[in-house]
Amino acid sequence: MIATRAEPGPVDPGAVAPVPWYDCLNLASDLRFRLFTALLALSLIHHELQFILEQQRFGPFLHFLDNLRPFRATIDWPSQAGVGLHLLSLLAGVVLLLRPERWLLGLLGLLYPITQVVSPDRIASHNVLLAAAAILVLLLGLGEAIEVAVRPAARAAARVGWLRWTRVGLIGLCSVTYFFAGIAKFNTDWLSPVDTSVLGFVLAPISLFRLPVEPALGLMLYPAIYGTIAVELGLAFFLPWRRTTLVAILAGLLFHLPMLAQGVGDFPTLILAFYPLCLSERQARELLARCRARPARPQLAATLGLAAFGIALIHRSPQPRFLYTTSLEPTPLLNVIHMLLLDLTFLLFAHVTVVVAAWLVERCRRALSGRGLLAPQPL
Amino acid sequence: MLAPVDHSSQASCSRWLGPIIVGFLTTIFVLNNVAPYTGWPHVGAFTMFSGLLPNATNHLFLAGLPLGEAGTYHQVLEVRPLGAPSRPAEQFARFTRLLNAQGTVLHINLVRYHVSRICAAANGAGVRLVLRSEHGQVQTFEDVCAEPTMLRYHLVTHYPPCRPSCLPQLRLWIIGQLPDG
Repeated sequence: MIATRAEPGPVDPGAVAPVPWYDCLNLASDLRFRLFTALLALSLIHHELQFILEQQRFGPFLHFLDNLRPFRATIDWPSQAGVGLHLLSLLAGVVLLLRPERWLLGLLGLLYPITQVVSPDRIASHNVLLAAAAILVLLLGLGEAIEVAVRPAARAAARVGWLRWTRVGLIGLCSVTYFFAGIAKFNTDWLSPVDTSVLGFVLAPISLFRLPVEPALGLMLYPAIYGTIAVELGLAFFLPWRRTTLVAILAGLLFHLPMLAQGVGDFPTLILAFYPLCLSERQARELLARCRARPARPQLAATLGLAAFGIALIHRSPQPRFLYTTSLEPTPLLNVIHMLLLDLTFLLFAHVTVVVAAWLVERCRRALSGRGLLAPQPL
Repeated sequence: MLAPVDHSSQASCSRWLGPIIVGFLTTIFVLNNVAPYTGWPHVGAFTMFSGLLPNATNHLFLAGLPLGEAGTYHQVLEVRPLGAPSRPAEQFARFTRLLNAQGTVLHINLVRYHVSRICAAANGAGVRLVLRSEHGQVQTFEDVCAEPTMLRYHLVTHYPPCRPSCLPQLRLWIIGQLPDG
């Protein structure tokens, strides 16, 4: 049976084995935070690789600050400092991916905002979300560390309390993100079938399957325009609500896969990183176990089909190709790594999507059979 | 069964400090996302792919709250050093001529950034600047270097530098191929 509540029960301080105060820097005890941190790290790697590719459109990355300074407001630091900060940020992404720990994520809360100041012309929305999340983890982690240092007896209560508020804060950031993304789309450009930026997302599969453009657009465009707003506003409210979290996660995954298939890796990966935080600990463990389990044939076929479709779209999408072809500094190895990362990320989320869908189908069948609406299913 | 816990001594201060920190950060995050509709400086608000204009004039129900000037664009009609010409002044003048020929307008923050660069290029530098707003209002500064408000710019604020995009012209500037005329 799936748990619907996973808030920790009453804390018995006497039952907790003594551990050093710096244990509060570690999030390893909560799988949801590990998953969040690992996906956030993956998003950071996506961002930094894309940042390097973007800067190379204007000259060698090693001189990006000097290249931009005559035109855009930047901090008056040498290019080497900017390059160093961005490479450090990339390294932090790799380290966090391998060791998804709270103190490392907290350190990112110090490093990342400085990294943004050296390239203020390229502070996208996902950068702000990532910085806000890392700063939140840093501040609440510091709060716990200070409290444990000052009042060692309150260690157990502190651990539960600070982690709970970290989770609440991060889920709040995710909800606010979806809410404002949805609100922003109530504008004449988005709602216009001619000017809407959803056109690119709809035209990509039409072109891949060589469908007749007019009828296919007629069928897909308006649902895409209004569906996007409905999904974004819906996710803002239904993701945090435990009863609807799993359905919202599936909707969110299906919603973000088209963006990933357009070669945009940073934002979808980052926002999807918040999803595990909305699950109970038990659900998170079950999701991970299901993702690691050997898939049934239909599930494997669905994953491979979805992944093949997405990867085909990524390789045809204009965004990565634009970055590679307009670079003034040819870096074929970086291009290959970037494209490979996009493919692998899509494969990962396609797999998770199919796993969550199969899980929900199983729950529905179980619920229906429990009410006598379906014959009992063999295990 | 658990023994009774003395909550007065064990309760974590996260109970009151946690919501304060979370509330504070969330409020900043929310204000940053409200800023595109009010014209306040902001960075990375969640308007990506939405088609929302920088001053949100095309929004159905949140347009027209002009509390700031973050969505203000101008055409630079004239930028002329009063003394000896400097490289920043010459480059900016060439760039704006190219934009004017295509009807492209520049964000006010970017104009101020360049004005500050030109004024800082030499001691006692002076620049005559003529701007035209999108509503057709012309503003003339006989010596913009003497206008402190025109020398202050936001370092971290997100806006498209030009409208429509001036990416190709920017690229020409960076690779040193801006036309002379």
